Amino acid sequence: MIPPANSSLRVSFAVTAVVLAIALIPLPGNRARSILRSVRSPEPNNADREGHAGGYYVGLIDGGPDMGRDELTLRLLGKTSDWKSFHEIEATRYLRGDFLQFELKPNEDKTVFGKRFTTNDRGLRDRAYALAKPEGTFRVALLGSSMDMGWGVSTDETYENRLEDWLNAHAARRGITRRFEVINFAMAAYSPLHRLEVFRRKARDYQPDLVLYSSTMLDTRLLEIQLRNMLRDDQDPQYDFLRRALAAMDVSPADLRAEKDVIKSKIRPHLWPVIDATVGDLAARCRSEDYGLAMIVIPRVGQSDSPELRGPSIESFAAIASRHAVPLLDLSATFDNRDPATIEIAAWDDHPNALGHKLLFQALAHAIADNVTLYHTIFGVEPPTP
Amino acid sequence: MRPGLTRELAPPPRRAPHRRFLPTPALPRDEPGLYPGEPMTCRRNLAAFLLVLAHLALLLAVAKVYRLEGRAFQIMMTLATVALPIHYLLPFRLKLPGFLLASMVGLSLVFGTVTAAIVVTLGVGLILLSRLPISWNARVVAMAAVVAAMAAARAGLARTPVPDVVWPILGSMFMFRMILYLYELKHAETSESFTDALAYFFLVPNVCFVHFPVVDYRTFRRGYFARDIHETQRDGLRMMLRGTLHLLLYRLVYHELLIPMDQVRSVPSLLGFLSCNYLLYLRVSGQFHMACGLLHLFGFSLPETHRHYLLATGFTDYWRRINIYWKDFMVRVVFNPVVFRLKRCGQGPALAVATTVVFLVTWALHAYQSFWLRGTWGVSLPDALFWAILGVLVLVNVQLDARTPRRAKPRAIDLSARPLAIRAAKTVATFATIALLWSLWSSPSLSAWFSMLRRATG
Repeated sequence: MIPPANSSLRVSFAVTAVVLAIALIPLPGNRARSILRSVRSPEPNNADREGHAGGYYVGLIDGGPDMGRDELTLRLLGKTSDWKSFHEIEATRYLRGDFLQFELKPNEDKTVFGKRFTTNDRGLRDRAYALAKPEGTFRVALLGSSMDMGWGVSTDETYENRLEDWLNAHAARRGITRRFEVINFAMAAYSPLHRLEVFRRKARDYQPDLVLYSSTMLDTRLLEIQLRNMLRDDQDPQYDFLRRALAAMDVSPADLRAEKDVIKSKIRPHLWPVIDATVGDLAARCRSEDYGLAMIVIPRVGQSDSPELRGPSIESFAAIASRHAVPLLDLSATFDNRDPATIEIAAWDDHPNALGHKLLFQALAHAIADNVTLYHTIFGVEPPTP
Repeated sequence: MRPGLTRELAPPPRRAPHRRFLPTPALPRDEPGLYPGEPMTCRRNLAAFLLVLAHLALLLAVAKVYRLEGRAFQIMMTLATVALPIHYLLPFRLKLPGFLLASMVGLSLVFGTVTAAIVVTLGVGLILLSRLPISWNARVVAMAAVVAAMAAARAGLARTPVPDVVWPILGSMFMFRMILYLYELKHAETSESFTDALAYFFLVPNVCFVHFPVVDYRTFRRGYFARDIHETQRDGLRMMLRGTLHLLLYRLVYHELLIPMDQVRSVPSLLGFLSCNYLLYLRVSGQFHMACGLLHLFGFSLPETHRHYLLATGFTDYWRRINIYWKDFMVRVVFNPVVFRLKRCGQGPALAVATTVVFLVTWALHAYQSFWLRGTWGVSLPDALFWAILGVLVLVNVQLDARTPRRAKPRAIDLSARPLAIRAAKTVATFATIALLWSLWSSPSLSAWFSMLRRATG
């Protein structure tokens, strides 16, 4: 005889329904919501993410393979049919012995995640621009890393190009004759020092009127990798503040041969001071050349930049911006309360997709509109009254 | 598959367990819910099945909302939800081919048609090789030669047109189950059907869990429609819910509680790290529960894979509770044969040698598993020390257990204070020891492990 559904099945059914309801019903309290986000997150945790970021970026910088993303893992975790790592698309030109270490190749046109990854004739992830600034044009130079470069999105979908389109449209709506060009100097794995160097070597040639210096919560990690490689390759630090910082780290040849943790422990106390000095140097250069400068903070998608985890980094960025009298546009809350699945390019990749970039653009446009001084700098007029 | 057409004799006479089944007589043609000739265990009941299907749909929703595991798991859960009603309605003789078809579809959806075709071709080749009409010894030698050639390809020593992704999938399906299948072929009294073999190797959930429980061939066959299908399915759903809870708890521990090893600075942080690091095993137990629960839905009544392993009260108890399928695999293929050969040496020495061999083989087979799934043997000093120390602890425990006179097992746990306190102390001590050993196993090096202990204690 078929036994009726017994009570333990009903209990099992009820428990399953409760587990489902917990995920769907809005929970009271930040802590409860944070825990739920963790339980729903298929991403690596912070420690693994840092290790993986190291693997990914070390692989990118040193030209090695992308770690841990073999065909099997990707098939099991979820991969689009045309997935490639940044290293695999071979859009990077390595500059051995050069402080910049690597840059984008010009005139690249690859398909990644079904989107076109293109670079212009000057090796920028952007539309084509003449070096000489056209008359009546206001130029914005964006310095940043992969979030700003745009990975897994097409060139026109990056928040930077959406911003350019909006600036022109907004100016036209307000009857302002000024044209706008936002030029993207960002590159995957560029640390704060790389960004400063790109400003010095590339961005200045375009005579920008405003420099947007983009920061992420991964900056300390990127800087650590760059400094470790500099020490290993005995590169010239180029900047006096960096020379002093490296001397203070007191890394011996024996440290360089020891386990990674040894050198990491010597570098880590100096990471924030180096970022501070980098922004200070950039601010001084912008001031001397009469360029405007603003800092923005761009979040990654998912748990890694949750409000609890990003708090200390945001405080540090705010302190640095304040010390150097640079306006800070904190966009780090852009992805809060959003389902990461809808704005990440893949479960294992915390770069924003096209929707994520659209949200970043909207947050940036609002921040500009809310900052009277910055709005005036950009448009040359006062912001419209609400 | 024939085990479904069997019934247990009652009361069981003094027979070996594997002889306690007799063919179930064919049924009259007009039984409701059954096609002619089907076993009673297969009898369909729409109301009972709809409850099962609703529960499975709810579990699928939980898996989707919580983004459990990854793409392959989501595909497999969806596939199971779609395939289950079809499988349920199929006549009994078509159920196993239907199950196989679902496996093939799952393999194609997850890994692509080309990869799936290569895996199936190579797998069928291995099964045919194991069934060649030559002596068992000759088949084992031939199998060893073919596996060695495949291992050379896996290691990159030999160039083949086979894509790299094929080896871990094939390894996951065949690396251990082929050992058990060959063992079964040696001892089977009747010939095994080819369809049974295909179903045994190409299991639906294996498509998304490459780290898969070592399902025993005989148990797999015997459990097929051995009980009423709805009871089996309900057991499977409970198992899947337990698996879901394990996977969610794993996420909680992994994201919220676990600290990196290099952040251990004090005794409390050490205790936290040891506990959480050990609790990461919840992912394995969760996956195993999911895999076996899914097999239940298709009529395979299998034993539980883990039994409250965090509550083990000793090292042999722990060995019996954690990854029960592995323990059974070792007992069947290693422990019993060794004890049998050494029985003249006395119980103590025979148990000691057999336990030692079990742990040596377990260590070697974990490296062999790592080779097939990850491409590296993963042998390290912490790994060797982990298995050596655990082996010694179990060895001592086995000897003590063997010397303790056997008493009738109490029907319920004694709830008076003293026995409860003793049990709690034993559980805590076992947990603490295993957690410490686990941290050694997962440590990148012995020096890193000692360094962590020094930071915590000094």
